[in-house]
Amino acid sequence: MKPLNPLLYIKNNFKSVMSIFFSMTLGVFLIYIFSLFSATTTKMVSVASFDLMDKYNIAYVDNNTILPDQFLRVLENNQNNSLAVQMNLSGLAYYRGGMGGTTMLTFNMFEEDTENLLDSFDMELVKGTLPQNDKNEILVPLEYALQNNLSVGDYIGTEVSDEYALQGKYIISGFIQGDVVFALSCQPGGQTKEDVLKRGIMYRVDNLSAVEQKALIDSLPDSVIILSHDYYEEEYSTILTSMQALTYIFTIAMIVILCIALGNLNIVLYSNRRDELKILHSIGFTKGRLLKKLWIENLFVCIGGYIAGIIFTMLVVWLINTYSLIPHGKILELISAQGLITAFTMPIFVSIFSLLPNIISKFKNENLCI
Amino acid sequence: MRPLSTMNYFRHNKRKIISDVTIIIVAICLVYIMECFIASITQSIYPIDANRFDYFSVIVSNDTTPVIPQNILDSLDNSENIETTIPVTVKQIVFTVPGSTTHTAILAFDSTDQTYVANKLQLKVINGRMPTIGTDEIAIDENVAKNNNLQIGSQTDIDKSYNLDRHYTVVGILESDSHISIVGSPEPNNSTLKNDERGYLVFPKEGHFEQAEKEIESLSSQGITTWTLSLYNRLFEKNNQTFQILDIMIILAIIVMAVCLVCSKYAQYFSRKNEVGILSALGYTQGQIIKRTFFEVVATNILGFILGLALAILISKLFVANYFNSIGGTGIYFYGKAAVLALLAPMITTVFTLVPVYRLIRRVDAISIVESN
Amino acid sequence: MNYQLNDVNLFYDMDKEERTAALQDITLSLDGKGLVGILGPSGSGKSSLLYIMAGLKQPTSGQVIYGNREITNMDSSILATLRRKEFGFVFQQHFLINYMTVLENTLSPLNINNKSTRRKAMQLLERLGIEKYVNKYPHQLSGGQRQRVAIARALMNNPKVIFGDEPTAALDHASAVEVMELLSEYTTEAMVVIVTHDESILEKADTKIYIRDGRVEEVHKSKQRRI
Repeated sequence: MKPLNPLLYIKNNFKSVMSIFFSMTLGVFLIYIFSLFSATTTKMVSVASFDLMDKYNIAYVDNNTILPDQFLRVLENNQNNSLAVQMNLSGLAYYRGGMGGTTMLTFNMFEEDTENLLDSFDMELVKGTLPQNDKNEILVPLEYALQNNLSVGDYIGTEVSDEYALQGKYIISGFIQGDVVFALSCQPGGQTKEDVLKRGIMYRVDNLSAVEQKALIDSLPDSVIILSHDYYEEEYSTILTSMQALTYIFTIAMIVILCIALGNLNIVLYSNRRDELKILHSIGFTKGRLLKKLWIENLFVCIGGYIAGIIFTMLVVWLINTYSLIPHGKILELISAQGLITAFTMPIFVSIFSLLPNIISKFKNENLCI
Repeated sequence: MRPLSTMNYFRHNKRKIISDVTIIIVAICLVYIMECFIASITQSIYPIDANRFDYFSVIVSNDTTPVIPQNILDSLDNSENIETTIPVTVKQIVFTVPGSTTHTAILAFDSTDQTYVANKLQLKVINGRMPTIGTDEIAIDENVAKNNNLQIGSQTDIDKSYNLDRHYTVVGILESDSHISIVGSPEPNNSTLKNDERGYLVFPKEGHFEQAEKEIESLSSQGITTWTLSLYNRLFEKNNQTFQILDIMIILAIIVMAVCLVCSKYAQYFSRKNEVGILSALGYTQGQIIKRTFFEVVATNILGFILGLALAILISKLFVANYFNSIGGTGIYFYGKAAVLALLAPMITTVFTLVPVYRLIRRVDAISIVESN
Repeated sequence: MNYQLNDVNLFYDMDKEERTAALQDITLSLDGKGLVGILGPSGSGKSSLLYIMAGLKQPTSGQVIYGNREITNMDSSILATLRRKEFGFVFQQHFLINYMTVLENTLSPLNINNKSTRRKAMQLLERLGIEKYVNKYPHQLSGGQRQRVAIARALMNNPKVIFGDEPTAALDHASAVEVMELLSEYTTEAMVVIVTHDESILEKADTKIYIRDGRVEEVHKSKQRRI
């Protein structure tokens, strides 16, 4: 290794730079873990809504009108694999590991369509059986069951406890697991599929272009309620934006604090290295070169702290997941690309701003001659 | 001013003190403003959703029970805990604040019931008038109006998923603790109503509030949708886990900030070892030196706390409170819990600075300082 | 002031197999005012002897009596108070506090800033020829000027004993002579104990203690002054 290599400096002076390393690790830990909470909340909303709507849209009426024939014909002609659905069952509360909870959709369909629906989302029936028509049976996600201490054969609904939004009394027939969350019951109530189809339909959108999707939605009258990606985006945009804003505020506050705190530390370290810098300057290294050396060393320490902070956070989250959350049907995201990028701004900004203002003013004016 | 006094040290080390105090100010502002923000969310949403349940409970039909059975209505009318039941149409309108969205009640009554409810809930028409029965008019709660940008003459948006299936024209602005809004149609006896739009307001007799609530809640096992204050409070608590996580994050943030500051302060005191050594040689006891250090650290933190708190309250008032108030919410800028949490930052910093610095001073030997130079 | 050292020993590395003797069997008697020089080569123990006398170090064995008080094994707080009230120190490095002005550094032993202490400090600084630098900071002064401030600080509490540990080692010859002349002025009021390896600055010393390998080789008292 070259004598002036920053890694060599860090290796030989680890005790001196440990405070900077440690502070950066803690700062990154704070920001990244908050980002993970934020990412988990976004994921929670996503699996209960956006991810569903990426495959299907739902069009239904809840008054005395019916869906336009033209609309239904278009879908039939496109061999859309649409499913008849009634949106008359209240959703169940779903939590993940992040902040707050959401309501997952409860589909009311025909039992012969349930496998089709599960296959389209790659959902697996992990326990129990699929619900049968008009038996007041319900299929719930495994996570939901773990969160609420439920087993196959247990009852849920307002007749069991007023904390359920789902009206009536349903017996859990089985648990499903997959990349999305929804509950599923089969209560056609004596109606035929054609009858139900006229009032509610789940149609595939992953095989339609954006233009085709928009044309379909625009063809529907005002009385039809559309559940789509755009609908949920509008519903959740304020909340998700607030959380993003909170993450950025945290990050900015931490950067300011670290810049000032590590700025003080760097002044002390610099004072201790004055002789070293004087000697190097007299050998022939310019002030600019020496400044660059100081900055790169500082950057390496900060990036080291960043890496340690990310690893430490992931370890903490893994422990929380393994021993606390997963056994109770929740999970905290382990990796968030946005969180990694947000946290990475810390070593970059801190390495520059903690060093330059103080050092430049001292460096510029100081006589580095021995 | 004594040469070794804290004030003299501050006078000669303004830059260091400013940077230390700035860190504490930033930490306190972050903590205080976030807590006020969270409090503003809950204080905005809760009254809008829950206050009405201080006056009445609600029972609503649903697809399982499309019509509330007469025997249930009779039992409520005959109950010793219940004063009266009023038929009502239930719709909802959105109320959004940063971080939370809810849908709050819009109610329609028959003409006599509208007058009764208005008196019971002490509804005050601060602008305009009450809606005419049978028309698509609305007298809207002032907070809800602000939130939805509605004034006299404007129209509400359609929100089919929450039964707001038509545009209502605003004819009045209401002020009341219950935050309910009243529409002219559809009346409760309208046959076009959906199952989950038809219901009853159940007013308890004075002094029988809890018993009436229990009676209402028992109806849910009979397939009727019920809403009471205690049910709402239970669900509100469950959803508040978000804010518990934020509280934990805030405390974590305080600890991290304090540790960063402590590292910085320790380095500063380490670089003052010579000063400690010479004072010891001059004849100052370790106790005197430690006491001097203690005052410096405490004074810095107290200064940071006072300035930080003042700035935090100002920012909360200017931004958080004013914004929430402008959208019909409740903006909080004086908040005890926030002040207590904010106090944690300088307290933790003080303790975690003094402990290692105390040990540093105790280890400093005047001779080793002299000899090392 | 009287100093009596009886069989004073100072050893380092007591817990190791081979311990290092800094001072061995030191027995000395010094009294009155005047200039006392402690001379010897590097590592001879002269600074250690100074620190023992000043109460900055405790001997491994033996007695150190100052006045009528035995300062060996005295409580550190009482020793510190004694140093503040009766001793003054001038070290090779000036050890001024960087963020304090010349005046504040001078006042630091008393830590009192009122009219009378300021007047006294100004008188000392005038006597040392640096009164015009009263509001300057140490980094704005030359080496000699800083050492004078250190002397002013050492004299602020009217010490009975002034200890100087190589006070001129970091100075040029002219400044060294000046500093020694200044210190010599106080030999009429106090005992001035100077440690040095440069005998030329102790021409006017009343007592010279020669020390080598931790032992006192010779004590030479000047005939000109009775101590």
